[in-house]
Amino acid sequence: VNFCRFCGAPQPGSWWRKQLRLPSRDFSAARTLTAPQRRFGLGVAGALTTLLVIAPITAITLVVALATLLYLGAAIFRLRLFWVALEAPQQLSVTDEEARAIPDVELPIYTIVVPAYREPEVIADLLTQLDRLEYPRDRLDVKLLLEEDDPETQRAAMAASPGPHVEVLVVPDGEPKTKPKACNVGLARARGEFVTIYDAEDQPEPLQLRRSVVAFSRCDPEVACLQAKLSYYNADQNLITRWFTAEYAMWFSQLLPGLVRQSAPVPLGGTSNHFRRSALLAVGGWDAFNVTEDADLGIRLHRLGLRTLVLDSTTLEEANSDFVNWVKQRSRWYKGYLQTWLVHMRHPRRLVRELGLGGFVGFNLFVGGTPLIALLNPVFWALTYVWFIAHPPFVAALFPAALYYSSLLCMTIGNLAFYYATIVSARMTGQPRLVLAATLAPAYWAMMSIAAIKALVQIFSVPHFWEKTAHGLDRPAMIRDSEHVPA
Amino acid sequence: MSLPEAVRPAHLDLPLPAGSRSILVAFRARPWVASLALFGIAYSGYLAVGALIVFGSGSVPIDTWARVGNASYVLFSRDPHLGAIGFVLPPVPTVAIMPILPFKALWPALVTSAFAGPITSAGFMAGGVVFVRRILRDLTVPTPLAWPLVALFALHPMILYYGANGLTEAPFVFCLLWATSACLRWLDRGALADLVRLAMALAIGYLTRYEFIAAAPLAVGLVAVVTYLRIPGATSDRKTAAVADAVVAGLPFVMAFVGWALLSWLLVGSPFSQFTSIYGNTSQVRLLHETLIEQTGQGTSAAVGYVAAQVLGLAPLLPIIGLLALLRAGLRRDQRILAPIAIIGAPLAFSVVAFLAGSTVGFLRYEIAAIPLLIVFAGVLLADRMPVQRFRVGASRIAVVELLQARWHGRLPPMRRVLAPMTGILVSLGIAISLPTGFATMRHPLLAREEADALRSVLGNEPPSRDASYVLATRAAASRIAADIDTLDLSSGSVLLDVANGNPIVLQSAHPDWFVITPDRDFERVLADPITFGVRYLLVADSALDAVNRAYPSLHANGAGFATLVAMYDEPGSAAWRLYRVDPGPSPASGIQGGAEQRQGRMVGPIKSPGAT
Repeated sequence: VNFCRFCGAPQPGSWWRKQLRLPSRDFSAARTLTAPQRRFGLGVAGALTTLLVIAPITAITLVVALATLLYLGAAIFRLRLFWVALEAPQQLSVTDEEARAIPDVELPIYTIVVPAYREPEVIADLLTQLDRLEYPRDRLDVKLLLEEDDPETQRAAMAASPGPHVEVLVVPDGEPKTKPKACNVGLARARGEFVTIYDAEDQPEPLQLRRSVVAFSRCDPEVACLQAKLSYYNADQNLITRWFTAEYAMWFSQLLPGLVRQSAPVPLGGTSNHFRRSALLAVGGWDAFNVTEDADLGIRLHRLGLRTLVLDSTTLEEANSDFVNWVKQRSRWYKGYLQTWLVHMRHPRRLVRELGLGGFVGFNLFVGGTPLIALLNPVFWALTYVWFIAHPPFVAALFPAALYYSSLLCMTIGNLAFYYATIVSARMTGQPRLVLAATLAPAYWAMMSIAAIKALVQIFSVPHFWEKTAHGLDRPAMIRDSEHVPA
Repeated sequence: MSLPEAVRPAHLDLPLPAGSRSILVAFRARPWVASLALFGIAYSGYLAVGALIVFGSGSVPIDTWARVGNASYVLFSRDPHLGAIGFVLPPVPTVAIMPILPFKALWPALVTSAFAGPITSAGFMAGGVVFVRRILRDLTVPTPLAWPLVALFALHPMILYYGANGLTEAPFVFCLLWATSACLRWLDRGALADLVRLAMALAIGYLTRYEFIAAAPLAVGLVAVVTYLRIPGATSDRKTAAVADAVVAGLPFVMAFVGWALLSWLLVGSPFSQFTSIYGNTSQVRLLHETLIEQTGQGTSAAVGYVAAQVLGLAPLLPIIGLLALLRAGLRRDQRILAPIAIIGAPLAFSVVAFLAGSTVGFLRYEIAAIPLLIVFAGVLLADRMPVQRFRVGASRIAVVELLQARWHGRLPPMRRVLAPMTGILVSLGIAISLPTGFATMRHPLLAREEADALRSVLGNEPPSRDASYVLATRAAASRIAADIDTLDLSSGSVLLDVANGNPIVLQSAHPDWFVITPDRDFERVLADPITFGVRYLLVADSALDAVNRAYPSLHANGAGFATLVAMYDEPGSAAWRLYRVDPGPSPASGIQGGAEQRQGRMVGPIKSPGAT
């Protein structure tokens, strides 16, 4: 075993030690809470408990007021992003002609990192998808990253006999066993000027690499990353996939471009992020302990003054079509967002300095706010429901007039505005039938809340547990049990 | 983004006087600069007229007092609560006033003279003027024609008066033009952002004036049909897209409609109090029924002539310009003509039909939509460029390059470009007629039952006549009552008052918390048992609709057995008021029976002291 089983750092004397510079411990989610954070959290909890004992109504009213403030901030922030993107999409567009105009010989070497775990059946598809990329084979440097304890996929990779541009790397076993660790191993061996990640079941648009090269050549060197848009090829499989597709459309076509426009840090999406390798090495690669290493990396790039833009090219993925599987995936994302938030909030003053006040607020609302709001929603929905059904006096006591009106405004305008924004995003996808699914979006929000509760439990019980998403569920003949990486 | 030289619309290249060039260049480079300047000029103009109405003649429409009152009661009253916003009138005009109210500490006239009303209405109307310009620009009406049209709209006496007087006509016109502008842009380019704008305008329009209930379904239907006809692909795909676009365009309106009804139901127990309330439209019609037949011929064929005279008085060339615009748009297959028809035409038709059917009282201001309709029709008639998107051509989303190409190809052939300015000048002159005829109509005592009195009051500085006092209220008349009450030694909740006509009194009183008013949540309870709740005076308007009169029909005859008349006020420019002192004793039995009250001889003059009478 070449990695420390406690911190994930390469063991002294191992080959990886030289090749791999993990983010410093201070930037890593290896520890969920630092000692000062723990003290601060305990202090706040203690103060709140004391207040709860002395003046319970005041205490809860205070919490409600803070929650309302958060809602208000998040709603204004999100709707601004939405409108900015609707008005003027901030995406880098490269036409087909421009993308093909570069002669093959002038193209740089491009590294594609593909981590895969226990998915032998998608290897063949993956190679087909890679073959569809319009990029000279001799300039492709594909790193297929398989785990040591996964002989099936290793066999499948050997059997597929990929060309010389594909290098199969076996990641040594050891904790943490996460996708970012595998990616770091790929990065250590990468040769390309640019690096990108695909999941094994991805279907990248064939010109994406060329578009990325052209786009990078047009950008300032401070642009270190281009995030391609993600969408789903099985959008029409069922209601969940329709919702998911509409949500992704909102995420990649509106929210991320909106963040770019406001120069707030952009949490990257799972795959199809294209990096300058130099920048990726400079920030130390991915955080092997963060279960949304992509979001964390986006923030880390921003803190170092590097920028991320959205590239107008779409990679199709498989949308999670199964309820349980969806909740697992979503809870991992929320857990990762919480981890990321905690990691970067270790030094709030330094963060303000590095991100600017706007970026700092944006980071808190977007990265911290997303899971937190999903957690709070059911509480407030329930309160509203109880209030209208029974008018219990304790609810009235929690909401003094000013707070009552602001929460009322927040709830009606906020919920309606998000509902409407979801529907408009669905229309933006160019697939109008998603609009009808989006009209049922509140049920999807309830699913998010379930996932958020699960995430909250897990961040303290199993913070680095990577809940692997089962793939291939769009192919009825191949439905398999979902697989977990053991913690 | 600047256009390449080859595709610049021709009207941008007209020779300009040397000095004006730099300003115009600045305006072209930053269109919002011109919008801002236009807004500023229009706003100061309307506000100046508003100041003239409020501080010059001091006669402000009673509904302006009501809006300032409602906004004020939500924030500062004996019982501040959201329900005080009132559900008979839609909320947006009232909510718009609220942010201004805290400044009453610095300048009390905002509330005591209801100047907060004109401050908001001037803003809405100036916004409307900006939208007129935007609409004409988007339609590519040549600039030398567009500016006179903007000016003719802005200076129309009806627009000028309603921009200045604080009523809801200004936000109504604003929302009509906002929605029309969005719809025109969407019909032109098909961008989703414009569809969202349209949806917002329809929803906020409904919360501004209920007439939008006529515009919204038509506009949403229009969106569905246009999408279906416009996008390529299989029939089923086009159907789905049509439904999707209709959802995007219509959902906010539906949410506003349902949400407002729900809130109204939760707070006052009736989802549609604008129709059912005693202060709502239906009861207004019933009250004025006989006068209406006499004045307007409502219910007879004469009513058609009456309402036609109103509309044609405001916009004499509306039928001709409308017809020409329709004809030209039909020949060119320019679908943009449908936007003004659906969005401005529908509420106008609605108000005409509602009047003919006997559901409204047919005030001239209900026909105000004729003016923006006329201007937008003129814009479609004079449009230089064809819409970018036409039926069955082009995808629903198009690239900028295609847009520029379409601009080039869509231009008119040269011969017609020579004729266009001629037509434009004729059309502008035709529209200019609206200003004098509009003014004449507004001074006609039968066609303009509200405005004629108001203008006499504003221009002639006369107090409004006795009959007009339910429409206009002078500050002076009500302030005397308020001052008298202020001299009494009372405490919170001492004076019971229905504010339907009494807003000016409460707003001018130094002690608004002394009054128990209709929006208060305990008003009904206090009304049923004034003695127990410590009411010491009843202030009652000389109106059968007054809540106190309805509760105690014998108040006029004998003080309902528990109250003594202490003062009567009948001054020009105010409803006639009676002040009763409540005599301690057993609680009276109230009963709402309505009916005609018996009028007694009036004693005019202020009270000296509570015990003197």
